Amino acid sequence: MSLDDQRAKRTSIFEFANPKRFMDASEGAIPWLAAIAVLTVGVGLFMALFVVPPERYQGDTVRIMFVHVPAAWIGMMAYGAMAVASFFSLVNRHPLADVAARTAAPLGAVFTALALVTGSLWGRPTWNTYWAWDLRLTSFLILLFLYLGYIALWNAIEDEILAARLAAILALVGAGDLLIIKWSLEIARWLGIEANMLHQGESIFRADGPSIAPIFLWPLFLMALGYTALFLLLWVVRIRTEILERRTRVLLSREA
Amino acid sequence: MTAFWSLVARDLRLATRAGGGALLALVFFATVATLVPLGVGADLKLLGRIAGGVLWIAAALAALLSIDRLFQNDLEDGSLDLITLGPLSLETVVFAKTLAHWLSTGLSLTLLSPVLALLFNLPERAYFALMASLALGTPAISAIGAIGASLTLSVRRGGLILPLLVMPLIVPAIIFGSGVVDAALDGRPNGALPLLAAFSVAAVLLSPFAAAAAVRANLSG
Amino acid sequence: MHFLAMGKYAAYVWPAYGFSILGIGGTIAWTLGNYRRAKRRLAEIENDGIA
Repeated sequence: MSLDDQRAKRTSIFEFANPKRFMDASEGAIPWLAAIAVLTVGVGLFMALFVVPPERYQGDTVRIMFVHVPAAWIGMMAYGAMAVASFFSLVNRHPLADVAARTAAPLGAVFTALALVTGSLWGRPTWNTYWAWDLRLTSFLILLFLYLGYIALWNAIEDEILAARLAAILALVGAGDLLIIKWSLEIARWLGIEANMLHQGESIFRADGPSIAPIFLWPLFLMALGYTALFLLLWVVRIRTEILERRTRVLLSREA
Repeated sequence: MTAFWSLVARDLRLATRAGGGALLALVFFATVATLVPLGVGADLKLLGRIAGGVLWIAAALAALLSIDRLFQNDLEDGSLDLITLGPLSLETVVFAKTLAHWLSTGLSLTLLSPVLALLFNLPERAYFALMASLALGTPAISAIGAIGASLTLSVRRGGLILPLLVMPLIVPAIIFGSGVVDAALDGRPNGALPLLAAFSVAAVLLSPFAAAAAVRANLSG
Repeated sequence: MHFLAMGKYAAYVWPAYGFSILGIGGTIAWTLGNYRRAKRRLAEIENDGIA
């Protein structure tokens, strides 16, 4: 479908039919997401601060893990969501896919930045440095820049449909880049190369089960669930906002 | 086949004439390489150790200086439309232009690098690694730069946003590239070399598709 | 008191939590603010005709 055809189809979708299904479905989902978020984060925070004992080597700094690791997971998840939405945007040309991708980016950026800041604060007392250039940490910094570039590209192009197409390409290229970094970490380990691994190896998602004691694991999963619910909630609200704004623009252009 | 090579030759001609960017890349490369020792101090041992990273960064930046013109000039004078009507697919056109860009920047930077490495007192054993890593990695820089150039084609003063887009994407090349030099310095087995090669091959093969899609979107916009 | 001191790591733990709460709280406020504004604007237009 050429861009011109897409433009014609786009105005017709928003002129004659609201994305009603999404608005209805999301309206039902929002209270649930909010409830899950409040509950899990509430309990998780309580456990993280009051129930969890100081860790043997890290002492009380281990509590930072409960805000750092979930933020990092969401930072990555948001990019995954952005990439999937971008893929559908290019293949299906579904207008909601554009909106989904665009709205996920600032959220992903916030969580990634939080992960970097909290990670830095965790690193200083535990490894005696605010930052280290190992591949894991570096790839997170790259992730943040990918988000910023993506947002900048959207803002730099006036034609929204063109912007959506180009941003989708950028998101997928970035995803490829991140995958390469991830795989090269694996390959480096397989080849026996010292890749400056300051960041701890995978201690949760391991084949033989997590290597962290259960008392630490439960608050971590609760916080991860809570952060996920929060992300989904914010994402859904942002998509609704975008839909409302577009409907406003369509009505305004009709009056004019 | 001749259409392909005549496009490469044409772009190469444009790049190497005055104001075309090829000379600019070399001058920039040399300037940075000269300024760093001045800024960092004359500790020869230190310079020798950072040479790989510094020269790699300088080469990447130098190669990207003229990348925003890859499609821009042709778009402005209408030749891009003509080229897309020609016998070559847009992907092939992108590949040809990227190749020409590399020949006019990356290749010459690679050839100049040993001379600049002298300024850094790079130990003998690392010279081959430096040139090999640059030769292998600069094609990736050109290829990824082409993607950035195609995305910012319609952006007014797209040159401002282009570095932001390209920079995170070329980081693996810089890490692996300077890693190759470091491994040679330390006498370690060079694990970064296959990583760099894989990255380069992937970038060069995939970039024409992404860039062509972006150019197509911009042209029909 | 021991709780606040976080075993002498207070300077790291509390800012980490502080940034997290600020960051997420700020994002929630921003997102909700935008949403309410968009809703209001659309309602104005649908009711009055032109904004």
